[in-house]
Formats: sequence, C-alpha cells, structure tokens
Amino acid sequence: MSILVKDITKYYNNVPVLKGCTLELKEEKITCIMGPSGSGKTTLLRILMGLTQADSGLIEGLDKKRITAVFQEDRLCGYLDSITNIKLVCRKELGIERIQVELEAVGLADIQNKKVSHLSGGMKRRVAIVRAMLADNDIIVMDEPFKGLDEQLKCQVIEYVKQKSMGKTVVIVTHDKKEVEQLEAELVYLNSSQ
Amino acid sequence: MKKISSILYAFRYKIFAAAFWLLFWQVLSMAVNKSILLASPATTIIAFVNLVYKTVFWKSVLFSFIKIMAGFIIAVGIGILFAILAWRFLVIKELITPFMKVIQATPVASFIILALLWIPSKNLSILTSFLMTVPVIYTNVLQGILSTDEKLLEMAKVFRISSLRKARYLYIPAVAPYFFTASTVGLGLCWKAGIAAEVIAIPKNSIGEQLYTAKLYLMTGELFAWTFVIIVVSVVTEKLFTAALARLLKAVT
Repeated sequence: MSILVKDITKYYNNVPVLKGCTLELKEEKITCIMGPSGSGKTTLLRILMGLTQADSGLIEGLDKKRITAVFQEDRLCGYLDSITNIKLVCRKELGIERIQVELEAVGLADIQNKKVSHLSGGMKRRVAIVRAMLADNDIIVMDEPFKGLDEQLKCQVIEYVKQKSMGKTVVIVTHDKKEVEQLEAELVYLNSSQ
Repeated sequence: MKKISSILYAFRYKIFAAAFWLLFWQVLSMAVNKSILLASPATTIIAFVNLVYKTVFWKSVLFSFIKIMAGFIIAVGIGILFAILAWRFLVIKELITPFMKVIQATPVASFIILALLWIPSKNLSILTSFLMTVPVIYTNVLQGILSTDEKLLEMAKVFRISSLRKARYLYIPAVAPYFFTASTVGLGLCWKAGIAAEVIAIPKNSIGEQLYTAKLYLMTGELFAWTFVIIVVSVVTEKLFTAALARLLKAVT
C-alpha cells in the first residue's frame, strides 16, 4: 500500500511550516522530495517517522510498518565503533561479517575498530546509510543522505541504496536533481508553506 | 638505574610538591616547638610504624572500612534507584528532591547526634556515610540521565531500540561521567563524615575510637598518624573504586 499524505498542516510558533500538504509515496518505489529551505521537508519526514505530530491532516499506509532513517545529522553514537552502532539497531543474529561486507560496499573497509567520533563526515554518513539499510524495515526515510560525499563516492553509494532498497518504500529529501535521476526516483516538489 | 631516574624525572613535580610540604611541616613544628600542639613528620612516622605492628590497628581500619564502605555502597544503590524513579515519575521527583536538599543542607553533627538516639553506635558511621553520599549520587545520576542526547533518543525511537539496549548504549555512557564525579566526591565525604561519627559515638575498635583516645591522652603524633591512615585509605579506596568502575563501564558498553 502506498503512503498517502493528506492535507497535513504543521505550525511552529504560529508559523505554518506545512500547510495542506498532500502527496503520495508509492509503495516499493523511491520518491525524492525537493523544495526550497523552509518548505517543510524535514518536518514532513519527522511526521512520517512519528517524531512530530501534525496539527491536522492524515497519513495512511504507515500502520505496522517498520521505519528506518538516515537523519540530517548522522545520529551515531560517537563513543562506539561503526559495527556496534549498526548492531545496536539490528537483530542479534546479524553477524559481524555481513556488516563488514556492507561497509565495504560503500567504501568503508578497515574502519570497524575505530570509534565513530574518529571518522570523517563522509565516513559517518555512509555508516548511517548502512545502518538504515541493514535494520529491519518496510520504509526507509532519508534526509539529504548523500550530503558531504564526493562525486565518485556518491555514485557508488547511490547504487548501493538502489540495490538495497528494492522492494521497499523509500523517501529521500534532496536538493540535487542528478541524485533523483541516478536513483530513477519519483520526484515530488514541496513549495513553501505547502 | 636508567629506569629509576626516568621514573623520578616523570614524577619530578609531584616529588617536589611532597618534599616542599614535608619541609614546610617540619619547619612549622620546629617553630611551634611543642609536640603536643604540632607533631613533627619524624614523630608522626615513628607513631605510624608503632601502630602498624598492633593488631588493634588492623582491626580498627577493617572495622571502619567495612562500615563506611557499606554506607557508601547502599547510598550508591539507593541514589541510582531514586534517580531513575525521579526521571521516570515526576511525582517521585517532586517528593524526593526536597528531601535530598534537606539532607545536603543539614550539618553532619546534627545527623550524628540525632542518629545516636536511634541506632547503636557501631552502625552510626554506616548511616552517616549513607546520608552524606546519597544526595550527591542522586543529583548527579539524575542530571546524567537528563543529559542523554535527545537526538540519539529520537534515533532510538525510530529504530525501535529495546529499553535494555537504550540503557546500555545510550543512558549508561551519558550518566557515567556524572556518576564518576559523584562517586569521587561521595567517597571523600563518606570518610570525613564516617570518621567524625565514630569520634562522637566511639564504637569499639574503630578508627574514630583510636582518634578519640589519641586526643584524650594528647598523643599528637598518633593523632597525625591516624589522620595519615584515613587519608591513605580514602585515596586508595577512591582509586580502586574508579578503576573498577572504568572496567565495568568498558565491559558493559
């Protein structure tokens, strides 16, 4: 079932961040959301993730669905290594070898013993992406996931995301049309106060 | 020889500080020139060496150590439990916090004199140590829990991380620095207040009794020696406790 966002409105300090937002996120497809700063993209994602309540409106298609996310900030535990960060959100049965394979697929070989706080921004980003992919999910929400990656790495990671998200509903906030094309994604444009 | 000299070099500032204060003490005792008022370092060392050979010395150290540490450990358990309950239930926080503030503000002597009416003198140092430590542990652990990164907690909510994993990987690392500080402060307070309680209650075969006796017979050298013993035991306990805590934290996270 697709996710239907119907007439969602959200105010912060009496200012409308989202106003009557209506869109469809197609099942088992990647949908990219673009829009100017302040158009409510992150707020919409927060509402989808259940971190913020909309002031009015309705979202259908989220019942009993498992969501994982790549946040705008990485939200990794800096004092843990990358493997422990990933194991934290995954099933116990998920082996270290499998995680290592996934990290290598995004160009992160040999970092497993390093604490995340010692990794570069681009490395942390990729760990966060692998975390979202490996945890049990039906819906993956990503807020500017490829930010901070150089072009070559970005292509590699986008291919990884495309492969791993087959059969899943994926929502990605981005500012880059090239990413939309490479992901072969549906595009939704949010205007300000929509 | 080379190793010894390199160790000495590494600790040169600490060695200098220790030598400076010993010399200061010696000069001061010579200036006062009355060993009843201020025993010299030499008198203190001799008194200490004499003490160490006596069975009553070890009995007293063991007695006080067990009682004071019992009070400390109970305070740690209760302090952590109350902090978790206060974080979880606002009504409990509103009930407990003023109680903790009253304990912190009340002079130790008031506790000791009141407690003498309620409990046997041999257990007074347990209660005093407990009362000195529990508000420190409670306040710091609660603060640590509240300082847990909100963004990580949101991540935990989205990824449906279990309560046990949240406790182990999010809350415990957040609380740890606060708890370390609280334990260090609490241990120091425990020893001060615990020994003070023993000096007033004079339980048999305790450090407090030994201090009282030394004061009664104006044996200032012994008084200083016992003070030195209290400081050493307090510092060693603190070092051992924090080392054990660091290991435990590493194992848990």
